Amino acid sequence: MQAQSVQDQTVQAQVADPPGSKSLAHQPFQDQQDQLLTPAHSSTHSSLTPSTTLNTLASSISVPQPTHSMVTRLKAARSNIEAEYRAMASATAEITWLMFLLRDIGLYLDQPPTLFCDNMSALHLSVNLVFRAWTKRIEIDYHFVREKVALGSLITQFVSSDDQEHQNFQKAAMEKTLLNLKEGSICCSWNYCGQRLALGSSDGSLSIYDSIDPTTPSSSLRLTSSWKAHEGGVEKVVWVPPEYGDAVACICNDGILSLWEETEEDTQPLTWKLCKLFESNKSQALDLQFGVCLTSLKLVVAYSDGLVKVYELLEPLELNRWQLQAEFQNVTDSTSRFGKLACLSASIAWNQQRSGSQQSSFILGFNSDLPQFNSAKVWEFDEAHQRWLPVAELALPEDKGDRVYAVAWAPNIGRPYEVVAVATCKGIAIWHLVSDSDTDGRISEEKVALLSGHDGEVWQLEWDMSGMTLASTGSDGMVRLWQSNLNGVWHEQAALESS
Amino acid sequence: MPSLVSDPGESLVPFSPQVGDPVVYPLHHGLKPPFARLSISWSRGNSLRVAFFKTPAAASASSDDETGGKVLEVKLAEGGGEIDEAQRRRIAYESVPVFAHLQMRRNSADSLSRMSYGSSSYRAEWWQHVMEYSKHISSILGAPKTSSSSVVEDPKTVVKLEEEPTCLKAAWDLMEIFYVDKQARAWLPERLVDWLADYDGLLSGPDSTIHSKLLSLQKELVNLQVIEDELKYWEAMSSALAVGWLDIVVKLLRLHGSYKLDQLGNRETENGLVEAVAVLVSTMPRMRPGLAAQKPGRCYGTKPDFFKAWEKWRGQMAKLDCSAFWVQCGHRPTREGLRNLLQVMLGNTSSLASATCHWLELCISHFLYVRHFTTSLEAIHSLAQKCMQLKPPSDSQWLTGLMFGILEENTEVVLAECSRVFGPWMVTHAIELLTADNVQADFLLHEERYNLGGISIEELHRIVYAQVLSSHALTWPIAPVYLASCPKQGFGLLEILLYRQPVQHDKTLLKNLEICRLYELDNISSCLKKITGMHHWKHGKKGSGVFWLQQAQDDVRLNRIAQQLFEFVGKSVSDDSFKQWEGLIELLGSEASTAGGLEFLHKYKDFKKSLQKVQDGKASDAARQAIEYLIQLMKSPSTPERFWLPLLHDSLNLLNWRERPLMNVSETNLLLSKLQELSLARLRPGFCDSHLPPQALSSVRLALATNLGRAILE
Repeated sequence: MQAQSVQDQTVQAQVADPPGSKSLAHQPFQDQQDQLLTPAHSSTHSSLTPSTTLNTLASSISVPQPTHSMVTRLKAARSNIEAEYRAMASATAEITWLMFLLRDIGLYLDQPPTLFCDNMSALHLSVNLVFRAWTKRIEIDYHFVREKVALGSLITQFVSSDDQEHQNFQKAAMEKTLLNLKEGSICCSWNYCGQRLALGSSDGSLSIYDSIDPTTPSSSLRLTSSWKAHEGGVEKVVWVPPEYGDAVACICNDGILSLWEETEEDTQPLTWKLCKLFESNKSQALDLQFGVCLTSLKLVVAYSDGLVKVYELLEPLELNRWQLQAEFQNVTDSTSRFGKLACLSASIAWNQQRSGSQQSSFILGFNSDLPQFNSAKVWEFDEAHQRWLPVAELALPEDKGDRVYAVAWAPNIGRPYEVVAVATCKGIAIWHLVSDSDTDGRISEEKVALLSGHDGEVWQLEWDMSGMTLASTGSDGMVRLWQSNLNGVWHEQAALESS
Repeated sequence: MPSLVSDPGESLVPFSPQVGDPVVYPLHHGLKPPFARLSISWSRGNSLRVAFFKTPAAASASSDDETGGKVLEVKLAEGGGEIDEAQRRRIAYESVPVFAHLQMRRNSADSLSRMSYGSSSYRAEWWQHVMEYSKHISSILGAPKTSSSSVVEDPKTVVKLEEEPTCLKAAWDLMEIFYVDKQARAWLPERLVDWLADYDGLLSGPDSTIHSKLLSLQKELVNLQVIEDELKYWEAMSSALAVGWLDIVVKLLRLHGSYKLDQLGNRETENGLVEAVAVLVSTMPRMRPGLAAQKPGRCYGTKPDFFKAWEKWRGQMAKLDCSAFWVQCGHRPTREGLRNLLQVMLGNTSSLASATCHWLELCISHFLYVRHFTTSLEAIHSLAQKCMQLKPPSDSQWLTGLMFGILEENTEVVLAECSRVFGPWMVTHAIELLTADNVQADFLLHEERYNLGGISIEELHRIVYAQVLSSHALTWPIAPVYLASCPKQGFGLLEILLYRQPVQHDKTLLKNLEICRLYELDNISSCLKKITGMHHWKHGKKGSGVFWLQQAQDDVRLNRIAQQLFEFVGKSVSDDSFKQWEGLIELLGSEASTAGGLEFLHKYKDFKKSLQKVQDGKASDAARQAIEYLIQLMKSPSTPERFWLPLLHDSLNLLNWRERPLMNVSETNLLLSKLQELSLARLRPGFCDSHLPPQALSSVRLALATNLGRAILE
């Protein structure tokens, strides 16, 4: 009975809490403790009437809910694709059976039969990792088809939907507008916890927006400060890692790189002030990324003349004291010098390891007119010699000159290998990096997939926190989501289209 | 639109690349393309933030909307079918302790009886735990059906409309029957009968079911005058009888007009027949251990007993079927209806087929009247297939996929169906059922796969579910429980999840730190403290900044802070700012001196204080005290080298104490050696010079030398 009374208190507490409070967050642990302490009372949960809890939940939570029609449409859409799959599988079974039958009576086909299907996604979808739309069952059927194709006994071909009965399905994802951007906005960046947004504009101003209700991550945003950072437009904004305070670095369209920090002193109110201006003679900064290394903060900046500069923060408390640690070109052969080159863009991604045991490393690719510079290379810091070394080049020999649009290093939550995505004009390549202990730490790289989907240039690649889903966006205005299935085959899971 | 090929080398199905749509979710943002840029960023879990930036030209051309773009948050993997969000959250919260409890039992069982893993006693015990778990979850999904509560029942109520059961619960119970409930193995068909009685209403989609038939009859019941003339009445009864809802049949039979007092006289034979059938129905032998109270039917636990009773019962039925009373019965619908009921009970397959609507109903009617001893999955499977041919299911019914997955003993299909229809919650929790008593499934789901990054399917699903939980502010705190049950990647994801929590609010921060403590994530815990400390430090709350940095044991930053404090106040003793930093150190307390920098500051504070006393009162004792502090400071390894000279310079007064030398020989020697070290260090590049006058070093040296001389003399 004791457990029961604890439970009751919890319910009361929920009722007493104001709407939107996080009192619910306490519950699981409390429950768990009850459970662990008194296993004999484990029936407390059934004795709590579900409706009570539901009502309290409903009263304390006000969250927009999907409309019914949205849900049904989604359901219909999902089952449609499954139906495609299943239909393909059963058709394959039929064909196989027919062929056996024909062979039994002495008839042999000189060409494999062709299976028509009108849904490309039905051919490629597979087990769902996150969105739970696709199923293993589909995959079994799919592999049944696949096996037959592999054996050469079946050819699948696409039939345009126009040739068949057409069904138009509407699907929906839950979306919510967080902010309407003012005119002239060019770029934005979210801070580590997704509650602050830095926005750069064409008039050279930087604006900071904060969540109105910091306890809910998806609450609307409010402008908290705005200042003129540059004469020219702000091209790129990046937040400094939170261990170093609230600060942003931004690149102006004249190539100047500046660092701004939010501080509050006893005498002064909360302000954003300039900490550091990184001067460079002629070249312009194209991209920058911060990396938290063992004890220090590092900053990699790629310049339009093909140079890469690595700065190190000397003082963990002051963001104005940087030291140039290294300066090199993104080429594997460091001895030869190259002529003038014009880089349009560059892309940098750090390996976001948190353990600290590994060497710090990042990947860098250029979009320039000099092929040697372009291919994405993994740079690793050699602690013994205090220099950066290119340890892997992420391009097949024939693709080495391809312009690189974007790179992204997937967070590793325990994989034995690293996963990196590189977008070039040929598509998005997924690479596995395995550092071998046998070959004195040398990284062996393997291209596991080439994903094509975006019509033109890929603008950005982003991995989710588990490193399982890759989101990409490009000049076709779509957001595409990519995942690997149980067999390691990468495919497009879904796309978000503006309508 | 180009399609979505993977690596061409891996491309399994050749196809022309010009077409094919992926699943496209439209985003309604009300902006007109073209866009200059799109920017994406993952928030926690499965929510993705998308920013649209309009091209400047387009923005100015269309003056009607002034915005230069929009920022959207897109929640993927939302929408859980029949269950609304609040309900889903309730289920998520309530299933946590049950899940955690089972995991705990597994861990303790694993550690205790690793030797006997796989032994029968272990298995049996484990199976008991899973059974308990399953019952719990089932009760969370919905209250169990209550038996009639009111004493006086409405005779016209045939089907009770209670709280709507959910498909989720139905599916869970179905899986429990097949995977966990060992006792049910012997009387599996009867378990299915019970299951159908509970959830038949859910099967009716576009097609009708027996449940919907009975409901529509019940609606009309009030208006029907002569019930036995209605074809519907007889149909409903034969249907209910076919799936074994005997109480409903008996109840309906008793509504027959011949029971009415005024008609009893002239419809005696008819009434006798109705009553005879009613008695037969209520004495039907059932192959099961027991029935709920007041339910008609007789139970037999063993096969021979049941078989004997069944033969006897059939004999009675055959006798009634052949009896001459049928001829005397004048009411045609009654005669035909009753004989149809008899046919159902005799197991006439065509009668069964016409009495049932759904394939599962047909299947169950066969269990009841034709094939009582069907208990193997194979037999049920073949029967179900036959029934499906007779009554093809409507498109994509959840039950069909799940049922056939179970009957085919295909774990993957079952999981896939659960995932497709019910989502990650179901998969995560149902895996426990699937592996409870199935070594094969156990292996399949626990095998570590390289393609998944070295984790098993079970772990993958838990991680997926944890991601879904962490997308929402109200559910993320329960994600750690699931992540903790993932041995390989769970803690990695948990660290990232915790790292991405805001630290500005003490309440949430303390909760996050508590999670870190629970799961022994010291790294991330100190990282959070560090972030908090830096935030406070930079935002003017220096005291709490220092506190959190101390908690994080961040010596590097603390030393820097100490240095800053020193620089701030070290210039002059009489400065007003002395009060400020003194307060700050005072605030930290004496116990807070774990970090080197602060230890130094503490001593420095004491030193300064006594130095001040010396200046004020010129007391000799105070001077001696100050010297003691100075020696301590100089001895302490935590005192940075660059403070040595200012310290000594500050204490020039003491070194040149007029009355007597304050230091003995060894103390003076120590200071001299430090001074020597310092002058050597000055030659090294990168030495930061303090703001002291250039002759400071020599004046200190002179003072020390003098003091040494005086000390020796003394």
